[in-house]
Amino acid sequence: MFKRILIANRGEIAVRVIRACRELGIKTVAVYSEADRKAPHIQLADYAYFIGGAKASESYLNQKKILDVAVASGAEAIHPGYGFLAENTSFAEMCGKAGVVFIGPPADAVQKMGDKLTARKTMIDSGVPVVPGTETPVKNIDEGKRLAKEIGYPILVKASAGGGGKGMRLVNDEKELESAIEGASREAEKAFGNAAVYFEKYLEEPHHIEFQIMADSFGNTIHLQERECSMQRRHQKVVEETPSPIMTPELREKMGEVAVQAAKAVNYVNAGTIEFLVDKHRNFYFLEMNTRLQVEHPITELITDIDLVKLQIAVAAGEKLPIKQEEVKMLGHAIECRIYAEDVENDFLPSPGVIKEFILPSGPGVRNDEAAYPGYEVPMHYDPMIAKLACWGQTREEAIRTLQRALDEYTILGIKSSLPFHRALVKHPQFQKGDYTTHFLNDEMPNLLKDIKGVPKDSATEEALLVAAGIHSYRKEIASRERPQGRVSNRRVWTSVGRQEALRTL
Amino acid sequence: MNFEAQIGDKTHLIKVHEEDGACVVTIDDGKPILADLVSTSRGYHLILGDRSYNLALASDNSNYEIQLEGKLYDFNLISEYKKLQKTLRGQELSGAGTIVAKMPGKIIKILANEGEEVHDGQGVLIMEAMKMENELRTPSKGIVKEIRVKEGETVDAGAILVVLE
Repeated sequence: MFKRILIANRGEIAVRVIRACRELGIKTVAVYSEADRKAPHIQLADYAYFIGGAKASESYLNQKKILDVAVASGAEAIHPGYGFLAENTSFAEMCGKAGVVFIGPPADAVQKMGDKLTARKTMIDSGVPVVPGTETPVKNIDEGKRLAKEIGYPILVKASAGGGGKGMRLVNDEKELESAIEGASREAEKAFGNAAVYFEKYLEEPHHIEFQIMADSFGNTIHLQERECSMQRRHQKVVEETPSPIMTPELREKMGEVAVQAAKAVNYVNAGTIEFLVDKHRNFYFLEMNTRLQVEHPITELITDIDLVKLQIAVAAGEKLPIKQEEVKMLGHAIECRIYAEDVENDFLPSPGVIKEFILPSGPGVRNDEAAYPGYEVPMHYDPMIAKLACWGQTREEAIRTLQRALDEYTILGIKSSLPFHRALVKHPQFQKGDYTTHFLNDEMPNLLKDIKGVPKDSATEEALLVAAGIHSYRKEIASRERPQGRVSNRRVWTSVGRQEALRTL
Repeated sequence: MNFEAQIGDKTHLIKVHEEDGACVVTIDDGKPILADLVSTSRGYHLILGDRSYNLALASDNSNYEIQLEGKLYDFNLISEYKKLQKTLRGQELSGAGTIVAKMPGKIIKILANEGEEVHDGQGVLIMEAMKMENELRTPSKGIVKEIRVKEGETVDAGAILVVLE
């Protein structure tokens, strides 16, 4: 087992990995940029190394600097977290060359699943169902028209080097096709330096359902069930839950088998996630594979009772999986909310700044993965997600009740956060029924934001607010008057009194 | 001590004085209420008559941000004394009378004119920051006193863009 691990990341995932290492008796090496001198992750680590400027390219994406720190600190392994260098093939290779274990899959598995078209081809060759679409980039409009007709409208034009919703166009019929291809290509060229586009069938009422897989280096591969991730805003997940409200035991078994098959097709090792799209007829199709630990892993941990980070470290250290597929548990229901430093009323604009009050909920069924504290200044250079809240219940209804209580207890003051949005979302009837697809937030956002403005609805509440603020201001005012102009502090008063007394006794 | 509070579009007069260690608070023409506010490790505890409230509070001069019963509220409360000081110094009368750039960015479009009356939450300018375009809105209703930037200008974080009165 490793004695020292470097965490090549920041924020809540770095905190998460450090906590796991601490429980395993492994020393932790953290790296930090100029903007992160006061960040929670370096406060919890055993060793901390400064690696450069606030911009990610100068620090958290600087492969050479991070490897230099690994060698200098004696770290035997690197955990890359998610984002940054987690799915970077060259970094995984460089680790190997530097004699440091990369806690993740082999570099060639990362590469095979990194390019979407290559991943699709690999899956098709292995008999895994993929979203119907083209095998190669579309060469011209005539070929495009023919292919689109074969697939059947509506279709999505997508950038093959792409991601994050960029270089994507929805086409409902042939009339729209030419401009869609031109528009998507232009956007793809600008965003990824590669104008190649391909087509995919656009599924009706799609659910984004992903399967967690875990494989050791002895060929043992298991899945840890699904996560329902259709609650997305602009293609970014905001709430995840497990099990999926539309899943059946038969579908789970089928999809689980396919997920394991997909992982085996690229000789996968360590933790990974297979993403599927499921249509309203419960047909499922491979979308892509993420060759890393995901943000939403806590909900899987809550229902299976398995610590995925510890398992990642064990597998990387050469250990066998301690559990067989038939031994994987599925207990209760778990839901996670991603807490962002964002101004919900202002189009979710990032809201960096100093947190004045930060109170976490606690009690039964509540799990916090946080990277913030009262007085912490949320930097503007990185992803604005500052914490995750995951709640567990024996049933979905109980998990929701716990989540509602926890969201009400959760307090973030001084910066704007997505808490008001989550509070409105968990009360929405469709969410409560578990009846939502990837279209939900797009359609329902205006309704959710309707009552979000902080104006009291009844006189008792208004009275409480005014009285609290009134007393608070009153006491502040009294305190500032007792200290004239703030120039003579209490200490100075006592000093001068002391001097007077001393002089009097002489 | 007297205070003026602006919550939503309503204005209230709040009187606070101390009697035997507890606070007596009167709101507008209401009956005086016996109340006490205690700071705890999880915010504040308010006793109002016979009601009990757990709340979290943060203030920035006269801007108050309070979370009560799982809901977030923000409003203004200023002592009459401070309000008078501000008037004499010619400053904005309501605490949050400015629009400030939270991050460095570029002014794309100005949507209002100096002297124009604006309502709470009205979009006054569009700024590009962190690769996105964002409409910046007024924190309260008032009149646009000063627009300190031009279209096309780049600004630093913390720059005051618009002053309202």
